[in-house]
Amino acid sequence: MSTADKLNRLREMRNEALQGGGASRVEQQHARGKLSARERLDVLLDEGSFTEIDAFVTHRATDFGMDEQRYLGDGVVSGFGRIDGRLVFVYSQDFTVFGGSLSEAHAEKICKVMDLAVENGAPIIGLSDSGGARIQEGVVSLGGYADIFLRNTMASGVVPQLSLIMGPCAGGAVYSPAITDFVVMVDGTSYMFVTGPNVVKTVTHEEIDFEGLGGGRVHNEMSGVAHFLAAGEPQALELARSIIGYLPQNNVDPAPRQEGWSEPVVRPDLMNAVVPDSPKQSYDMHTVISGIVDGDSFTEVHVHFARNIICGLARIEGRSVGIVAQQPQVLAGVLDIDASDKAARFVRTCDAFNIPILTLVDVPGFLPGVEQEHRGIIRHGAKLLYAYCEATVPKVTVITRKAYGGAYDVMSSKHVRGDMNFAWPTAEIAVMGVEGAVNIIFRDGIAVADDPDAERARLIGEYEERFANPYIAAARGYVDEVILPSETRTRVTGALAMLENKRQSMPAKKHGNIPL
Amino acid sequence: MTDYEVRIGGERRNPAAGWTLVWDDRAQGIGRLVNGTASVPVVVEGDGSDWVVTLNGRRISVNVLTRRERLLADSASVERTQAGPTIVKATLPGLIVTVTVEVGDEVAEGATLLTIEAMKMQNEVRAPRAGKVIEVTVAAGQVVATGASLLRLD
Amino acid sequence: MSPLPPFGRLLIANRGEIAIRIIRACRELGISPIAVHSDVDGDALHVRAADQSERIGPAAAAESYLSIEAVIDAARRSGVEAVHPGYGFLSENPAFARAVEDAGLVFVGPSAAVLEALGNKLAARRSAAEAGVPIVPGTTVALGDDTGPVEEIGFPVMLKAAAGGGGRGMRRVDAAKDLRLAMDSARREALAAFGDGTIYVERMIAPARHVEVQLLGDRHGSLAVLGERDCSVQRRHQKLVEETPSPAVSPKLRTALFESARRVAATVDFHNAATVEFLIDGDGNHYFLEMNTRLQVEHGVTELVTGLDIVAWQIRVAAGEALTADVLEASSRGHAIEFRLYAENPYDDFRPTAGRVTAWRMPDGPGVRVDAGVDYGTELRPEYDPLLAKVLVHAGDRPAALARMRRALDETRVGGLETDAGFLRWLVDDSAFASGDYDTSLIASRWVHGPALTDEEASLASAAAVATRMEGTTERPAAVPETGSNWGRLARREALRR
Repeated sequence: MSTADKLNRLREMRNEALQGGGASRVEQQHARGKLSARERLDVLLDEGSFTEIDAFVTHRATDFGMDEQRYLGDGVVSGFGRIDGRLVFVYSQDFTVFGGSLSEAHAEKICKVMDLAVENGAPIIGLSDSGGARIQEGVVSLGGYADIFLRNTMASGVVPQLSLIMGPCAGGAVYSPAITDFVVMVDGTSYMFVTGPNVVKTVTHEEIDFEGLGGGRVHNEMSGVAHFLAAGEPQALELARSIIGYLPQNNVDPAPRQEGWSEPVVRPDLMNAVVPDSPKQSYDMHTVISGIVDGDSFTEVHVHFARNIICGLARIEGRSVGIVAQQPQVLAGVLDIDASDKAARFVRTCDAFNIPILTLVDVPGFLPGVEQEHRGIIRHGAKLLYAYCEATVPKVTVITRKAYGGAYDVMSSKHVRGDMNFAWPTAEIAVMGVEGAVNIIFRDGIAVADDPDAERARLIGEYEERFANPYIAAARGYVDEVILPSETRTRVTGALAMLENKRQSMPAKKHGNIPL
Repeated sequence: MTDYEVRIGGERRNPAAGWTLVWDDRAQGIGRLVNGTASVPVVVEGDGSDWVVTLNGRRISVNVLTRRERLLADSASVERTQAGPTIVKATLPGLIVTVTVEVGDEVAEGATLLTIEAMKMQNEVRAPRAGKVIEVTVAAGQVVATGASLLRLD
Repeated sequence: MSPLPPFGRLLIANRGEIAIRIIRACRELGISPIAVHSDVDGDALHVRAADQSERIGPAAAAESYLSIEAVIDAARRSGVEAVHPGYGFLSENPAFARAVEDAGLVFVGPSAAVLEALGNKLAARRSAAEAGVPIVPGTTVALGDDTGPVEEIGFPVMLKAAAGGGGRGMRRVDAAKDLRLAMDSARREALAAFGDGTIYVERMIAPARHVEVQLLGDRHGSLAVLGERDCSVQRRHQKLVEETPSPAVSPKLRTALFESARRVAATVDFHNAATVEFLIDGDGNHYFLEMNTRLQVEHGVTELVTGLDIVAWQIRVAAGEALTADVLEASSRGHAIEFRLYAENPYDDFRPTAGRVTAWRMPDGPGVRVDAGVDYGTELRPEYDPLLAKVLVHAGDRPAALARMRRALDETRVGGLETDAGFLRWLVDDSAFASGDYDTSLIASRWVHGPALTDEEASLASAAAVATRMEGTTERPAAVPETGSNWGRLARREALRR
């Protein structure tokens, strides 16, 4: 064989690897409104930055006629590339090859890039589009899954891990995305479940389709498994790029700072008008966020799940910041089980990756009720408390209105190591709401009054005057400064700059025991 | 070298070979295409994948797409990056004068949802897309700031 | 030594290119020009060109440039002696002319009485007919509900507003069945635009050339006839291109036109500048249309061939000066053409566009004159006329003028918004226009939405776009080493500690 022939052979093999499961299967994929595994990487990564690894790997199975069917790459495209010039490791399952099913070789390829990512301190982005285990390979395939789960866990908190669900992700496979930091699902074309509709029907006699059981909306609105719902594949891939833009490469490096930020969307003078006169009236906390963060820099996480609390990534003067904020517009911003879980997870994600946390508080307390108590609001609320106590990243808090009871303590209060705690003049820091407090403290006095209602109103007015304000807390130093709403961005920016080199340590321990 | 695909009005076009672009004024995008002794005056505006070239007084919209941009352009026309309900927000601060829809209403794209009075003008807030009103978070008489969410469309 | 300026200060009650044109005349006459501006025009070109500018109200023209009260107030504040209205806005408004006079100031234009008499197109038609000037066959009294007079004339006909102008209230009617509807809508439009729903009817002259005669008169009874202009290239009954002399006017017809123009002017006590408009049919008959008692947009072509400054003379005769012999006996030399550069999309029915001017280079060199109202960076407002600039050329004869215009258009570069430049560039090479044998239907019959993009244009445009994009991209190597990362450094330090 001449040298030219040898070179040509390589060219041919490369070309073969690019074909995946063949043109007709790629066509089918396109017909379903989906991109091929390689096209997805082309959209995800900077132009021409992808370098493939293991393009010539094939499976080693011989049973069930598998030795007759081999495809270069074995159903997953893996390697590394760049997002806005920054290194990321990627793998993208190829549904056109054995339905993207996971074989031993397929799993080894994924493990290889994960190992490289951890060694080199760079994010891992996994694109799932797989029918599940390669049944022909049996237990070897299950071992492959476990190898990936272990690596996901080892990498957790070391390098950012993103999962993009671009098609089916069923059975054991779901636990890999579940361990990662963010899960993006595509509306209408992706689903995740442990057991499919057929098994569900046999076991529980429930009739449900794929979408209803584990579609993008279900996991974004009800289960909270997914953090983002993308309208289509390109949007999912763009979203992944923008999420990576907020995150550092690893737990040692700082998050990238964006040059040339823009001013907030909401002008300072409008901030003064956000909190309505009546404590019973709600307002949109998004307005407050838009008045603090750089223009259009806010990317909300879990938009559709537990909407009474807002979590999201944003930038302030180009620096990444994680935002946790009550939403008075939904359930008055109360803390319930889902809200506690959502925020706790987000606080820990930020803490793991050196992203400062800005907390905006308007919380009437924890949600009362039999259902909440029985389902363990104590256990779940404790997660959020634990997460805030444990977090050593800069923590800046702004109390916009209510900060009642135990929820006040939880929400990044001074007592749980809040670094800079601000309050607006509209803040009410108290054990409970004014009316409730008056009814308890003055129960006897009101009962014997000639006109109990008038007496109650008088006492409420008096109590409001004395206690429903931030100055008692400020007098004790629980609030570092009372600020005008219009000053919020300036103060928060200043606080974050002051805290840039913050050092705070935890006692030596193997790991904490968060009440899961 | 990056391979660009050029499209005009959605149709694929091949750039004329042998012509080089010479600027008269780069800041204003005023230049000439030169090929030997031939010279064609042009004005070029735009960035990224969207360009407008003025040639013989005619403005021609030209898409210059990288492989990535081509995939993006081809695979979806939906603009929202996150799906699900759309939150209609106030684009200007003012007083809510009327709310013309209620929860449960099916609205068409462009339908008037409510009116905000600002700068002595009654500004109609219209539906950004068709959908069902699933939540109305404001009422007439309420003052809202820019960015305040007004209602949700499913 | 320069003569004494006619006025010390003069207020220009207009904006855009015409305000700048008048400011230039003021400068040459030693007059201090004072501009006016609405809130959005504070930094406009005409404001920067003037000695000072008075704010006259918000963006909406009705509350600023069209507000008699606001403009008179500005004139008082700035202490001017005279007011030049330009064209459009208040230029033909008798109430404005009267208000200027009542304020003790000089109105640069004919008297309020003349504006009134000629402002009513129907009355002007009557007077012209009485003076023996041929008018377009039709009614000389207001059209009532009776459709009889219209049907007598025979279709097609043109319905027109008595108080009209600018094509508003104008309707072409081809058949009796459409008449009723057209009359109603013409009335409504006229009422909305001019506050007067009176309409009349004229027989449709087609094919027709639109030719006008420029007049300049002083307060001492002298009247100069400064040649004709052909304005037959129109869209929406509005002019786009003007030239002088008209290729359609023979010496004999010219004499007849001038005589008719003099007769129309004689029906009133005329002074200052005005234009008498005529239609010319295929047989060379001319018909009086109307007399415009103000400066015309296209006055420049006449200035080029006569060498006169019409705007300066407007101001001088307003100050009481008598026309001199060189005006009264002015002769014209060569051929001049004006192309109007509009922010309009010729590929979409000349629909007005808006935006910011991001590239702006106007032609110059021998025989080229540009009257522009915008500059690089100007944000075009939808409230006002979309006229960007007038490109005028002057040459020895028509073919030379066309060649010069082609060259001027190739030098013209505008970016940031849609303009009619594509149409103008096409027109200069159009065989009908080039031959001089064209009529008012030229755009409708020969342009429609313009020719399709040719493959050559597409590939050249593609080449320009690709070249520009490639300029901005430096090829990034596939592997950029991580700089400034602590990851490896930290691991190394830990490894060495053991």
